[in-house]
Amino acid sequence: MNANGQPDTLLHIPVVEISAESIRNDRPGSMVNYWRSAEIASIPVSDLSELLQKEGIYIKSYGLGSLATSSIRGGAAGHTLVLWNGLPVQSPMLGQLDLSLLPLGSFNSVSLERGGGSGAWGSGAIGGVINLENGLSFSERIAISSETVLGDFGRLRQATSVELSSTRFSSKTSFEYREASNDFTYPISDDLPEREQTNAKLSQRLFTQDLGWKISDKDQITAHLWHQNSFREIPPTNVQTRSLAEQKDEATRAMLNYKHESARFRLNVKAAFFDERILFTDPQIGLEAPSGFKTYLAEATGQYSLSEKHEVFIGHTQTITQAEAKEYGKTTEEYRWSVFGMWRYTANDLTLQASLRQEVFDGDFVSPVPSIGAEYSPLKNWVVKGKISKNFRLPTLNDRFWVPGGNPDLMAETGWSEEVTIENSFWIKESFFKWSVTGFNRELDNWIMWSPSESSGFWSASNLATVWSRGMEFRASSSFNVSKVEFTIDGGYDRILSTNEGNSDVPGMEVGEQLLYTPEQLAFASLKAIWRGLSISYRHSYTGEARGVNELIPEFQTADVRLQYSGKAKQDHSKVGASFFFDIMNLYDADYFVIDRRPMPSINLQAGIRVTYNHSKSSP
Amino acid sequence: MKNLILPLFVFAFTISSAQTSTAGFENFDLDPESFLNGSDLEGGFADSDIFLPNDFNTDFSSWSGWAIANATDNTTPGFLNQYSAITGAGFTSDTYATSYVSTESIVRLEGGASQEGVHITNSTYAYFSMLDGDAFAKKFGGATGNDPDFFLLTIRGYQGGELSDVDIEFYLADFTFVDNSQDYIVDEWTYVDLTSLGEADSLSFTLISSDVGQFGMNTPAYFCMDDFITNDPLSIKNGAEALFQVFPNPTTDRIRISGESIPQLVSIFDVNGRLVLQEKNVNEVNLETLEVGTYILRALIGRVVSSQLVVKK
Repeated sequence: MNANGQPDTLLHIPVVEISAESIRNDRPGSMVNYWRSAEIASIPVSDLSELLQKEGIYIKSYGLGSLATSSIRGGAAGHTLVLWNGLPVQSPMLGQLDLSLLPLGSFNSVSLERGGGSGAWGSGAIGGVINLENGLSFSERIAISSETVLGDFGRLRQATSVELSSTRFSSKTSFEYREASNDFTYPISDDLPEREQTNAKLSQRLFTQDLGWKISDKDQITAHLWHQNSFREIPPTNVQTRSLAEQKDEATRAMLNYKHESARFRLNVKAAFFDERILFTDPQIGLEAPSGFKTYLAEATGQYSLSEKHEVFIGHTQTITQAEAKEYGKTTEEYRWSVFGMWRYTANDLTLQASLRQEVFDGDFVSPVPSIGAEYSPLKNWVVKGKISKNFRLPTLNDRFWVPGGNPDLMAETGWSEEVTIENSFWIKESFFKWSVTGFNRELDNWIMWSPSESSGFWSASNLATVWSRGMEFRASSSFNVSKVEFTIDGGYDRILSTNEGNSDVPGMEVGEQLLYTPEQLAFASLKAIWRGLSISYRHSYTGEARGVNELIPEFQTADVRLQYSGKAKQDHSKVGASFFFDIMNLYDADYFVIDRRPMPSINLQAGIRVTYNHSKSSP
Repeated sequence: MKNLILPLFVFAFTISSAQTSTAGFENFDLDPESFLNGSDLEGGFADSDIFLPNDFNTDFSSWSGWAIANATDNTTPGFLNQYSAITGAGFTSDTYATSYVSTESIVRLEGGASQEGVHITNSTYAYFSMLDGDAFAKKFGGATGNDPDFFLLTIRGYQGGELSDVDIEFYLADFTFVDNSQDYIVDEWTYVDLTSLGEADSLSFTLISSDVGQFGMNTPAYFCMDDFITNDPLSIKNGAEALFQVFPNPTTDRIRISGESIPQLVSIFDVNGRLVLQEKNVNEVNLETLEVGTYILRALIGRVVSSQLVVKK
């Protein structure tokens, strides 16, 4: 199935034995996109930021290979919660995760849920929740895949994964390396030569190891290790002569997961350890800024079916974070715990779910977070769904303890959000059509902002603003055949208003003014045609005008094209597949900015090959 | 012609009879390459007839207002080199004052002294930020070199808490010229005559830049100051003698300066206050290259500045 729930003939999805979705993951009322690894491989993307951008999410990118964060439904970067197998992995120091440092090759699936989800997932689940999953299959199977991509601007990507599994044990090992010089050129003015981007190299290594032991039909233990290190240079702005700054990121994430599943009861216990280090250096100004944190997480959840129609779910998390930065003055420790519960009612045409969460951090109780969601099908092929939720984001460690400017007395950002979606799908002869429209509304109080203090001169954090976000999202898709060619069309349009509701001199904001780096309009359209093993896809995106810190950022349009040929050979229980693809990015060579003073790359090309080998005792 | 000559004579009398003092900040006991940023919580720095307030935040070890420094590093950009002057030294000595202007930086005039003039230059931090840009601020002129950027220091007087309408504007950088070759960033000590501000008990220094974003000014809000010259009111009342004599006066080319010691610095200004000639550690100056007219000769002897009129024939 593709992101819009339509069949995708190119994909072969291995049987993944992992527990059925809990009512925590599959909550009614939400707009959810879901990508499996094979589908991601068919899209010209190399990291999570690029994948989300294809789905019409606004990505605040500082340039090719540079910091990229998301703004979902007018939220800030810290309002997107990123989960790894259900546990939050965003930096507790920054409250966000650099999406450009998340290669996708090692994950079995990626999901994006729009809207508030704090009741289920806790702090930061305000604009949306992204979940990266490492699934394991328990079948007699060997699967090997390897992908190599070469492209402009010194781009090289090599990803390899090996899966070995039996009915009892499973292992998946992935390695990914990528590098780029990102030395694209960009225009200055009509009468001056183009300027070449400098100090923009990126190199990254990622290693993941997933191990599974299916103890019995009801019990399994999995272990997951995710290690990556990244080196990247920080390029100059277009009004900066040079930059020598660079940043090294290193992250080790480990998780142990025990699952028990019987007819009516599911138990899920997780323990995790995250260790992340960042070293920012700028020899030009003599700056060396190491920082890092260690997080210890434990979570236990249980789900019980009271009857066919009623299910209950309870959970408890404990999180200890120890963070170090020269600017903190000492090692800082934060302790959080939470309890949460859900109840679901399922009838023929109606699913109803309510949840309640209590979060405590460093002994302070955040006000309880309730939510309710519902999904109702009044007519065949019609679905009406919606949810109302209270959501929150705790202040980050930097917000609280950074010297100068940190404020230990900051309150959590809190607010209510509401959304409603109407979905309709239908067939006309052999053609499938689907469309949906969503309206959302959210008010968030105590929005934490850093701004220069007039009295002291330095930047400090405060609960400065109330932000009102509202808008609509329209999605439509269709798949049909013309002769032997299969066509798929997707499109989307977002209209988002996210406005400040209080006057502020610094940053300069008036009541009703759209937030910085939050375009009011986003749109995309894509067309994919498949004939036998040959496919061509075209994706066009539009990003409306946005306010930057220094200047207005003009609207821009970009387009990508992929030409791909996939072939396979099959013998007995083995299957060998190969895909060759050729991508053109920024097809019309648009000159554009996402962040003011940070030019984006011109037209560029890449080509790649992906080889897969599958051997299975059952028919592949 | 009479109307012109009379004010000049009055001006000459005023200057020659006034005893001036100079705050050169040499009295602070600084180790080499160091600074005082108010961490002693004294609230500022007193020198000669002026007091430079400092606001030090003990929670964050940050400061605003004034610091005293003798940093010589005038090649390293960035905020870690925030105390350094782009000249790498003070005007006539190693020590100088650096200001981080939060809203405004104040110079208090003590004991009824009046402001005469001050030497100003850019901090190394602001200078390189304007020259090359940094992660937050643009290089002046922008990507094309044609942006009409500027970094402006405005000085005004306070009297009894009232801010005067009269101001003095000093461009620390000016890229507003049509001819880009005239664009400049101040990189040496430049004398700013403060007499036109009139009566004041304190002075306000504010900075504005053309590079402004939603969070305020991007250009680092720093500048440096040295040799703040004040007129001592008691010496004016007593009609004190000038510290030196100039002869021949009028002259066609050379003049000699006689006094107890050789001036560390001799500055020649035209009647509009523009510095036209400057020499260090001399007691003889050649005015041959100057046009015929009346000039103000200002000499720094010890820690005192004194002035006399000189006529070039």
